[in-house]
Amino acid sequence: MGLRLAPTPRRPHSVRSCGFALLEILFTVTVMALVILGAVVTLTRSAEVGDKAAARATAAESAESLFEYMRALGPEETIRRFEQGAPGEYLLIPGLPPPPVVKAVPAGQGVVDVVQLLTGVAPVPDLTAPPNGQVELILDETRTDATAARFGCPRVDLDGDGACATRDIRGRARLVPVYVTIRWRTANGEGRLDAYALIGR
Amino acid sequence: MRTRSSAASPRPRVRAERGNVLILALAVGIVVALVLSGILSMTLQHGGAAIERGERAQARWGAEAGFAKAREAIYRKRIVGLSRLLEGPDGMPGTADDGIVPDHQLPFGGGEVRIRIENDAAPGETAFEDRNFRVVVRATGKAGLSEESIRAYVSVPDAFRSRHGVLAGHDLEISGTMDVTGSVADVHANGNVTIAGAVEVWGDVTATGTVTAGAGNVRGTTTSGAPPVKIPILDVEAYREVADDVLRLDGRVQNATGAIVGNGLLGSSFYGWSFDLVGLRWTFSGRRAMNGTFFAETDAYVSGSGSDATREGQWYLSLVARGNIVVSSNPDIRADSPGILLISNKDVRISGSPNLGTRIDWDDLPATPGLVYAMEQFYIEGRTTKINGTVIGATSRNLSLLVTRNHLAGTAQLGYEGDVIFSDGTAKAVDVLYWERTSEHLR
Repeated sequence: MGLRLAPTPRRPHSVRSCGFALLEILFTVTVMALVILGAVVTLTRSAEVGDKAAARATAAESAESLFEYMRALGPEETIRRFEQGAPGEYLLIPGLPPPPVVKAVPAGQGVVDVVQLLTGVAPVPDLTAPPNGQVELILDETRTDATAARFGCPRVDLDGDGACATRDIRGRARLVPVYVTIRWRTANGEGRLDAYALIGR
Repeated sequence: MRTRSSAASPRPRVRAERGNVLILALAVGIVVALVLSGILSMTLQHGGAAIERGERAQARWGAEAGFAKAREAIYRKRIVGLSRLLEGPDGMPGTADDGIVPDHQLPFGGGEVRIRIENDAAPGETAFEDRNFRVVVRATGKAGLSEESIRAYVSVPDAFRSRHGVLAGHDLEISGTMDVTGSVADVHANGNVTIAGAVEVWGDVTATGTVTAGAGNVRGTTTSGAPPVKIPILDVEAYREVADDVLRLDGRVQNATGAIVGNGLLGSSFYGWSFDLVGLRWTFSGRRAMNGTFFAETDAYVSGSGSDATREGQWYLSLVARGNIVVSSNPDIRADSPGILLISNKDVRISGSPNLGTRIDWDDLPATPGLVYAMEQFYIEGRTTKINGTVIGATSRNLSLLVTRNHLAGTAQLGYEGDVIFSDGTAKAVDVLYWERTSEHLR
């Protein structure tokens, strides 16, 4: 009878520590949520930047290859194959999805696959595919628009006659300014590359 | 006491564990944040690198555009020598525009292009005097913060160095008391060579046919049946593009930009040049002359001294003609375009006492050796005619009957040191011998 049970060991408890575990959990959850949010944003942004960089690199490599090809052709042949209305005016660059709104290709002209073009396969113009590249040649020494101005026109002698007054250099071109526009659209938005080169002999 | 003390012992341990999860979460958060900031930094760098690559690519295309422009500028001067490019548009060495080609600094693709041409400093050349048709091009393209430069050695592929003082594409006759002197005083004909009179030739005389020395004094060897020498056939029309002034078939004078700057019709003259409408030829007379490289669409006659052209009494003239060239007076002519004295698409006839391409032992002025070239035949005579350079009669064609055989006569003196190089003008482009590319990003 005189026996008394020893008190069951209890978790220490005080008024000051009331609710601490809840606060702790809340803080922890908040911190982890911020961390996870940061991680998601960073990784998304990283993927986006990587995607854009990859698309831009593809576009730049395509432009580079195109310019090299034109240099190998020389000015006159470049004009023949890429001038307005020629098969090479509108290009399809594989790996770069074209944006939904593109410049309309004139009926019957079609779009040429740049890989076929560069590898020497006679390209068959696709009359239905939307282009993602366009080539513009400056053949008039007297042009004064913004595109021509980017090549220094009308101060550039393109046909070697010592003057800058020839309105059509076809047949006597020694230098041809080439402006290539490449557009694309990926999951992360649209992109565009403007490339300028001067093709000489 | 012991029991109390043992019952109180858990309290401090529990207190010590308070906030451990939070600290752990913070620690994990910091680590993850560090990792993420690293990823973010790499991502931004990756994005920046993509932009930089794009700028570099455009800068490179700009540099290549500048290089293409420079090659064109060199191509345009391929037949009149590259010294003019080295001297710049003002034609004066040692000035601010040296090595500058037209439009040497242009906007290009949102950036800019700069071009400069320097001499390759080959032996015997100065910074402003090219003799080997080879120069160094520096083209720099700039886009954004990127700069790409191309440095290249460029040459004119068909540059021809004459190895003979006199070179004939057909038979050659030398007579009188003619002297052929200099370290490269060789004479060759893709035909027969006949030497008559007290002719003095310091070098060798060779012919694919027969060499008949006669009373002449040939200090070198004489060789009959020698292999033929390839003689360049100049594209005379190519000089029209690069001439300072064109003496046109209609009697008017056109400058390099295509503007009409004078006429030689009906008593008028352009710095001594007048046009004979009946004979269809341009004739220079008098002392007042203009220095420069002239292209005549007809025959060109020089019958004046032109001694008022410079204070030294020298006339800096390179004369190219679609027809014959006849010099019959006493002008003291130095090549205006290096290496070019007289080039005719038909015959060249020289008499009187002209001094062409002054030699240092003939007076105190620097030597300016040059080419005297007849597409058909030449006839050089005169009492004191002096020519410093090489004389070539290229073909046996005889469209003009002014001269029908290659002939050196009289007391003319001809000296040649082997230093005349010229281009036949037929190349379609220049040669790139070596090139290197350097890049710089200013970020």
